[in-house]
Amino acid sequence: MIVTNFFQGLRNSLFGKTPTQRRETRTAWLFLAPNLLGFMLFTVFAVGMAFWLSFQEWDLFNQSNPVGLANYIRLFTGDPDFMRALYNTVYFVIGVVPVGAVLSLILALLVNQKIKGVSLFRTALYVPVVTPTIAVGLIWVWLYNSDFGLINSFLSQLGFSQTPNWLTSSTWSKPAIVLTNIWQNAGYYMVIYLAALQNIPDQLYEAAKIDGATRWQQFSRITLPLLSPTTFLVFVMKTMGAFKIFEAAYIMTEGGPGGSTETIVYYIYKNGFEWFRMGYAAAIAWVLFAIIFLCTLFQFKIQKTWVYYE
Amino acid sequence: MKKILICLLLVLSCLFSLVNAASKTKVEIISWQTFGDGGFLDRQKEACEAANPDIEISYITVPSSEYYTKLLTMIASGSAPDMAMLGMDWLAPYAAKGALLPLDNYIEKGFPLDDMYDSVEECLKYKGKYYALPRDTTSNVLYYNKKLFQEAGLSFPTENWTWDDFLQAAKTLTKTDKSGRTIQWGFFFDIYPDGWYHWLLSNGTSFINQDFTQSTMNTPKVIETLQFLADLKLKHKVAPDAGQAKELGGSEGVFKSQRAAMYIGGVSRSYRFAEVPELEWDIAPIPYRTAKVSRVWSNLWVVPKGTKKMNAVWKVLSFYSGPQGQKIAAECRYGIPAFKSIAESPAFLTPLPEHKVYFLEAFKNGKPYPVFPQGQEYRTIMDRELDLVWAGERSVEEAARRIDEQAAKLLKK
Repeated sequence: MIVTNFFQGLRNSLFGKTPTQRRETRTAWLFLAPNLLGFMLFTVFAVGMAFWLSFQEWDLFNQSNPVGLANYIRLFTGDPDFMRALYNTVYFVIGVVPVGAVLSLILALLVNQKIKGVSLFRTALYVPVVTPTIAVGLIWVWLYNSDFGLINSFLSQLGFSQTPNWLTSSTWSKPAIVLTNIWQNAGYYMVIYLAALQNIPDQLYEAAKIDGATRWQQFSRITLPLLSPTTFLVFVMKTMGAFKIFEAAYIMTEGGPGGSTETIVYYIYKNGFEWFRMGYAAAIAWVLFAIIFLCTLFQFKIQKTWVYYE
Repeated sequence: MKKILICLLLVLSCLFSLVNAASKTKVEIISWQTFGDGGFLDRQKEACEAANPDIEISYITVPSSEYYTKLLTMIASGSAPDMAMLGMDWLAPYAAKGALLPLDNYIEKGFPLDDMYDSVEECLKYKGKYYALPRDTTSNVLYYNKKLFQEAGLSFPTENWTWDDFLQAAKTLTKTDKSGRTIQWGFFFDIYPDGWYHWLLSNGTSFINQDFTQSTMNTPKVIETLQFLADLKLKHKVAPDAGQAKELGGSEGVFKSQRAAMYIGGVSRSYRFAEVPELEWDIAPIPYRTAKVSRVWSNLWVVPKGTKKMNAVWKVLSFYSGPQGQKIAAECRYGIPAFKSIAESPAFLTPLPEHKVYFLEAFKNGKPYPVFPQGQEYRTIMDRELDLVWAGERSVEEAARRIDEQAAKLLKK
């Protein structure tokens, strides 16, 4: 009886209760089908395969062998390289997310002004987002040049006698990647913030002005609270993105120097495609998924304390 | 009526091309080299198809940054190409996994291996079996800028140049401006392992033992060699340090722009340098300490396992790697032909530089770059540690010890 009820409930919620509803939902499903099929085939199926693979030993050429939990055990007990990659990745997440979010907000506030040629600025700030990471990486390699790079010549003009060897010193390589990543993605989150800013009703500001609120009060009492759902979205998305940093490190430093910019995704790539350890790579990928999942869950849990929904 | 005729003609011609295509065996080749630009791949295809009318060759080009990932996934998904270009450092990893077809049976039927330098032939084998034929080969030599040597009042490098002679010259050739910034370097070297491996050979050693079971970084001669190299960058400052090297546009750019007077590398550089008319340069054997040995590198053609048309593939492979194919490559200024008879002929020897014969001399005492199944992972370990040495953040001894320690786990498997 419970089982029948369950299936009835499932059917009702998936396909609707009345015949008309059912006809309409059927059409909806038909429209969704191509997308869903693709998602099933290329995402769900592949992810499932990867899960199965993470309990196997597979070199891509020969039959795979089941090895139980061996991949996971090795990952957590006998692989200092993974631990380093994990540390580097967490460093990137902490470095990229808060600073990047604040910067995007500032940019959004700037291009939300009614000034001449504002769309030009908006476009310019968005260009890095649509530029392939490969090109971005190559340009930043130049900017980071220790002797002739733009950044260091700027620093020495400011009076610094010792300028860092950005990409070839293990102290500065991580900040360098963080900076590039923030720069590249700032425009994207700026657009998200911009949309949210333009959704804030003008009356609120007008009312505040009449009540004699300063600009700072307007910003902190109206803008920030009303932006908090967007800030939440930006944080969640930026965190996910930062955990998956790969290309920038691959192109700018090849994980170096001394492994200081090897990220988890970089390590997955190396294991799977260069060292022929697909099973192990799959296990790392699943661990990365678990980490991101837990982080996101945590962010959702604490949003009640600071996100303000109208 | 006319329309019907045209239709008939169309149908007939379609049928014809079908029959024509069906009678030809298609051989698919994957490479990171482009085609369709009249280069050696196009000319080899043309000549090979002319010699074998029953074969049709098609190329797939994958950019070198994604090449091995693509090849790997093609093999893993059962859609391997019939023939693949392979850098020799990947031969052992692929062969050890059983991904390549051994070629001994075919070579026995007749392939002129005896016309090859021993050190080149060595590049084709893994555990005593042949798994590859050469696309082309090269040895390493010392490139030097004649004008900069003359300006500094130095005589040109000779066959008997030792490390000390080299260091003296490099010091003289390094120039700084008033602010102390170096404007001309005595030497430039790439920091990936093959960028300095020849220095180990010229000191009679290597980073791994003969049967690839033990990493030998932490041995006196290797440490002496690495210290010598690190000193070039950090102590004598005759070679750009890691940060400076990155901005000089790599070995090709820095030698072409005459900002480095010396460089050690393979033949492909000479074709690039020859493009700069105002550059006056020549080559010499690499400087030695205890052994006059150069490193030999071959890029290869291999056959991924599972092809069902080996007869046709062998015809193509033995043509590309055989005397005719090698001659075409030499004429296109591509690598050094793997056969003595062609390498020692004008086809290779005529264009610049003057002492080109040193490339060939180097084969006689040459040793192949060490390749073994765990080679790629070993290289990552090595790069991680040595990066810090070149940056002056870690001592050679400590890096060597740490490499051996990590490699012990890796090589045991």
